[in-house]
Amino acid sequence: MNRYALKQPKELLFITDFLSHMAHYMNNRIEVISGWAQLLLNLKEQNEKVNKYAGAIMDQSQQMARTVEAIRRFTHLDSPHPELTPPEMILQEAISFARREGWLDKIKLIQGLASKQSEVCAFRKQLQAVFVELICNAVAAMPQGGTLTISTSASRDTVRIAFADTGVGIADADRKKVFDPFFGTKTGAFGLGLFMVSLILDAHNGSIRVKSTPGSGTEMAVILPKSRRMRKGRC
Amino acid sequence: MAEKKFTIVMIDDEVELCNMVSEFLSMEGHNVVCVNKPEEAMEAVRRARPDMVFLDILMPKISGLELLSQIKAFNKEIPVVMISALRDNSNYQEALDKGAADFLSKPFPLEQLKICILKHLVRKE
Repeated sequence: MNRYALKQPKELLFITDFLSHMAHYMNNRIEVISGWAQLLLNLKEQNEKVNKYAGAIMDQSQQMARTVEAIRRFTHLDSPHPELTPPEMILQEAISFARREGWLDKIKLIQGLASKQSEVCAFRKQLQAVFVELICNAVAAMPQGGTLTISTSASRDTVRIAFADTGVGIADADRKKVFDPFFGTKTGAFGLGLFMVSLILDAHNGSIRVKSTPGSGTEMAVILPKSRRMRKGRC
Repeated sequence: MAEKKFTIVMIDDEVELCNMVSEFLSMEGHNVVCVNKPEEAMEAVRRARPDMVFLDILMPKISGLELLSQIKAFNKEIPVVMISALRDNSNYQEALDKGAADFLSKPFPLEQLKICILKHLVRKE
């Protein structure tokens, strides 16, 4: 058996399944709440206070919808089997997703990808969710825009995928807490993103390292073990 | 108020959501039939002979995708707009393959319902 063989940890599947059900339930509630608020705003008999209160309900519903959408990115991660793949390929999928969402509109993106690609053994959807989360966090740290540098490199046994932003940075006191569940510094965030990242990387026998200077930026570096090719691209 | 009045069946096990959508479409002048029990949906469709159906995908007992097949077998001309609280590409593809006219992801602005009616009913006339 390949010493890097991966198993889908039951805890991770339970959490993603739970999040999936919760996102479904929450989206139903949000639709109803925001729908009634829209009906109030559509009333012919306009009332300044009613409009103001209904508008506030709409704003909060939209905030909640964005939170659920962020949670939803960690659902449906149950890839049937791990694949041998260059992380750069999954990275490009994550970058394409970020572009489609408009996250990179104000960001200068620099890519420094390794000239010789290595392969890792990965549950594709899970690793993509990790990269998407790290891009999302980097962009959120640069509300006025900035530079996001994504680079890959390899050593003898590992592949390193780094996301460096020029954003607000992480306070020293917060650095050890960022992977704790429900810890967040972003307004309206649920605080599950980096916790899920650490769970997924753990399942991939990988890790993540954080370097940050408050006021200058943060680098999050994912370290994954290199893998060797087995039958039919599986590992 | 909409220029033309249509009969619309809304199938969703979420009672409050049905009530809210029904209120909105009624204010637009349409005749709305709400169905909260999917096992009663086909009977409601046969009776109402709707111009359009809004159909939730994830429901207990009978899934929206199964109901979609049954509605299309009854009358393939009825535009059926699938509604999902969970964006899932596999559902999207399967719904289109089975003849769904459109797809809405919750939460959606109510104006989207009007756009669907405009696109699949008003423009087609």
